[in-house]
Amino acid sequence: MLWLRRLQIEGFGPFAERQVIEFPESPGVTVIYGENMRGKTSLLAAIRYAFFGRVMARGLRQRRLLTVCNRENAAQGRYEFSVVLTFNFDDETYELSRSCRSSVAVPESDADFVQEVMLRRDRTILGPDERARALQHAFPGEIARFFLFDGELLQEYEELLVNESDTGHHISEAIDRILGVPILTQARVHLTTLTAEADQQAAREAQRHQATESLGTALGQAVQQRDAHKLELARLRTQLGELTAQRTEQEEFLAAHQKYSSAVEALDDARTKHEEIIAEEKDKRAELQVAMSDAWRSLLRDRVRAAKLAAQTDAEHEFESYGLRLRAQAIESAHCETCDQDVPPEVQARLRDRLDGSRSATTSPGSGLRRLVDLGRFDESDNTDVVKLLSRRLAEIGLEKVRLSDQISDLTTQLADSDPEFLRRSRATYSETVDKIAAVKRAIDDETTKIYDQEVNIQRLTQKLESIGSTALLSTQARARLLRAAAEVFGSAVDKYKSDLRLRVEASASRLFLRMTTERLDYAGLSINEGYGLTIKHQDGAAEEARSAGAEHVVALALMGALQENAPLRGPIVMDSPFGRLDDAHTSNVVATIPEMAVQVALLVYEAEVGKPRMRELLGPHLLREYELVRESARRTTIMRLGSSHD
Amino acid sequence: MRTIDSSELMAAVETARLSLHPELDAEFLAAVVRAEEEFAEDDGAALKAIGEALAATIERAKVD
Repeated sequence: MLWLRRLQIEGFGPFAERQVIEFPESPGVTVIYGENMRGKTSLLAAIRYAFFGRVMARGLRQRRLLTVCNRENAAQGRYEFSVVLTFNFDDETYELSRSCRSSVAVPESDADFVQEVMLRRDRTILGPDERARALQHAFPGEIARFFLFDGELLQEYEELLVNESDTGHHISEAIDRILGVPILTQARVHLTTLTAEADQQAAREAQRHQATESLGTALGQAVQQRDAHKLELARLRTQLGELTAQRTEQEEFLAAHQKYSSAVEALDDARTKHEEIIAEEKDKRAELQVAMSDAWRSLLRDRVRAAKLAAQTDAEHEFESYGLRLRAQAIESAHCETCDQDVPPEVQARLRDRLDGSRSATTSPGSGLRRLVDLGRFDESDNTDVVKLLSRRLAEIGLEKVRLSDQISDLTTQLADSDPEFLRRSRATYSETVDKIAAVKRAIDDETTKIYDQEVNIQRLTQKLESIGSTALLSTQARARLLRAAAEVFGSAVDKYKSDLRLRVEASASRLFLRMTTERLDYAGLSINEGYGLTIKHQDGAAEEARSAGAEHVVALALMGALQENAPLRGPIVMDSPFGRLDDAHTSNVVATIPEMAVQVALLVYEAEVGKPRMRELLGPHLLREYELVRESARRTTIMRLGSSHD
Repeated sequence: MRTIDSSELMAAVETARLSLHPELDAEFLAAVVRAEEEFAEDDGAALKAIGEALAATIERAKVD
């Protein structure tokens, strides 16, 4: 099994100068104490970097190389770091070294760095291919999370309880890997491949003889079609895996840029509203222009009414005056021109009496009546309310425009450091990925059905050939039959092995959980689901649906220990600050249980989590060595071995 | 982190063999498990090893 022996780092994070940690060769725990910012996470990152060539921050987020360089060195223009990890594997000693240096004076991106890697097995330096194989063999990256982890990574194990969770699915696959399931699944795949080859060989053999030629041709075609569908199925599954990984990355990106993403959404929304309100303003202004062309009427209405009254009075006077003039003419001429009759003297006298008391006569009715007619043409309809409504809305629009402009300006400022267009594209790409996944899943179902149909056809044709085939054909068929049966056995063994494993992992995890929890009297243990998700079981048999963050943490640690206990693949555990979410009692229980979780454990803690005296008391003889990360300056840490521990 | 204990894997395979195809040679299945352990990262080598185990199994059957 893998055993860490020595870690040497230089220029990595706060470790400006070369620093070394020597791991004991006996089973037990090494504790490295360090306050915040001293470099505990950098030590975990350095081990990951040595094995996998990637620098990860907490929770497996990839870090830019520039941010890894020691800041004190960088201030002096030295952008470089190196890690040398010595480990034992299969009774051989390996020295793995990786270094990274800037190829320009002031690097800005990862592309400005040059990285070198070397793996030495005893005295032999391995070539690139052999190095990759040896590292994959010694420590497959897919299962690294069970050996090198921090509190944030432990949090992800909740996802195992969520159906359809991508993270949960990935973890579940990694658990299968550490538990050795791929040995059986790969065996089935390889046996199936060999079966297909034997089927094809049988078809070729049958085609060589007249009696079996047509059946052989049909068998050959069926085998070809099945294999073509299998190839397509494999391609679709690969595509599904890639798309699922893309979806996970896109979800993580969108989650990490949630703040910016929300701002982009708000900015788009504000811009849309701004455009809408500008369009409304244009419409309302046009309506107001029309309304204002009639609005002058309301200003003149009172004056026109007064003028109408005056004209009415004048017209009445004019009519009266005109009547008087007609009478005066009738008196003078003794003839009425209106009715064309003579006026007798007594009537003339009576008219003269009346005429004497009246005002002077007007020659004709005229201006008053004409003015009255003219003023009658004036439209008195009032659109003041419409104008007021439109003016009020335009004022509101003005305010809304200012508000939206301010909002757009604020959001644009907020997004100054980001690329809104990229975020928009990312959201669109995520939707496309989700649609593509659905389409690929449908295609997989379709191909699976076609493969099943062809398998049935092949079985039918093979049975027919068995009764009439040659000796050579029968021999080939026997070979195919044996391989098919073996593939079936391995298919069944996968289910059986996983089922048995789940029970064993459940039992181990329950035991470790009960060791670590402070609620031993209330809880009966843990129960496991198909994807290795663990649920706390109460003594009354009910599942504890709502779990605290601390409880989640303890469950995750129990799973870690259970996997180590039951996996054919074992190695050292390096834990970074795993007690952050735990109270004192749980922390004590967990520390006391850690020696049971793996043969070699390195614990990175800050003293507020567990102080040195308490750590020594809890671990007792399992505590083999202690180091302390000592602050030299804000940008420089040294590693000091403490002398009170014993090897 | 090579498999250091494949007895559980073998036990699962043997259970499945007895249940589905007791006529199958247990030694062949064990050889398949060993090939997969040995060549976990190399499909070609694993296929070759299984092919050789199959040939040996067929030879054994002829002798028997």
